[in-house]
Amino acid sequence: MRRLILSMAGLFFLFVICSLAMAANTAQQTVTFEVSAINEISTSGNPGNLVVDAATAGSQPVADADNTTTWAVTTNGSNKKMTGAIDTVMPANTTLQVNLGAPTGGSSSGNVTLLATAANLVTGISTVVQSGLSITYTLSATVAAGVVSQAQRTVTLTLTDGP
Amino acid sequence: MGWSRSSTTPLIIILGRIFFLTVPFLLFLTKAKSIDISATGGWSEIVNETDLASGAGSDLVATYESPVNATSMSISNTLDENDNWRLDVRRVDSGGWHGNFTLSVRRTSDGNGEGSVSGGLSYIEITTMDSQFFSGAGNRTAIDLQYKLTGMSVSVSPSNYSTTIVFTVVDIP
Repeated sequence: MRRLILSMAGLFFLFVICSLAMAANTAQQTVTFEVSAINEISTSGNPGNLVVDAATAGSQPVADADNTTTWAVTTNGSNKKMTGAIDTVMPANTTLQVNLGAPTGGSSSGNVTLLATAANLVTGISTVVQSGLSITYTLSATVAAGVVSQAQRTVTLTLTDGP
Repeated sequence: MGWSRSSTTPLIIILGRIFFLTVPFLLFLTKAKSIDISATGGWSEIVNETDLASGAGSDLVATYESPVNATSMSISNTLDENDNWRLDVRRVDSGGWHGNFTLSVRRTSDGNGEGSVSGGLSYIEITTMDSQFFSGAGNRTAIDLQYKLTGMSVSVSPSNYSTTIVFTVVDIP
């Protein structure tokens, strides 16, 4: 009789388990988000003309500067840097410099002479969204440059990997 | 005093026979009564620079919505159009889900069939615990669902983030 009762109890337990197991069914779906690397910069436009046309007697000509433009950056990366280069070297005895303001967490290199090869302008840029960052161009020339006719240079600013 | 062996044994045996005959029938009924659920679709989204609110210097758009029919769900094998059920939803993060994300779901169609559905027309957050989504009765097919994700920003590192949404249909007695 004990065996019979145990069997009945076992079957009842099985029934309860089956009832619970069958009371709810499930279906599954997957939601996936792929976040790509985002490294975007922009500038507000072109600076005004830079003209060196004045000097104090006994000194080199006075440099001309322009700070009418700004730059903006959005990156979800880390340890990025801004570099700058010009498409063609400057005439002899003239220098074009640029000074980029750094976004939060970054470090500006200050006034950097632009060459045909890229130079670091801002380093240590990580995960930032910022706009209205300053850009200052400075054109300087020595008297040895003589009279230089008006010319244009294309400045390429690049956000790239690096310390 | 007390029951004698000769008088109780036949009763136990009779009860036992009734029990053994009844349990398989009950199991059959239970199985016959189980409600089935199926779902097709899902949602996959790529977030890149085109999702910046206004280009460089702006953050990513924080909220994303799937198509209104990202998931099509069907409820079947109910007893009849009065067989009530409830749909619960939760998510299972198998790894790679970002803590800033809030995922929600809502029902965007009633589907078709002899039964009925109610509730779930507003977004509810999908957490790791079961939450009641909507309810209904009877068989329904092609119930459309839409998802919404909030909490996206550039502070979310480039990577793949995935979670599994588990829908559970519960038979309501």
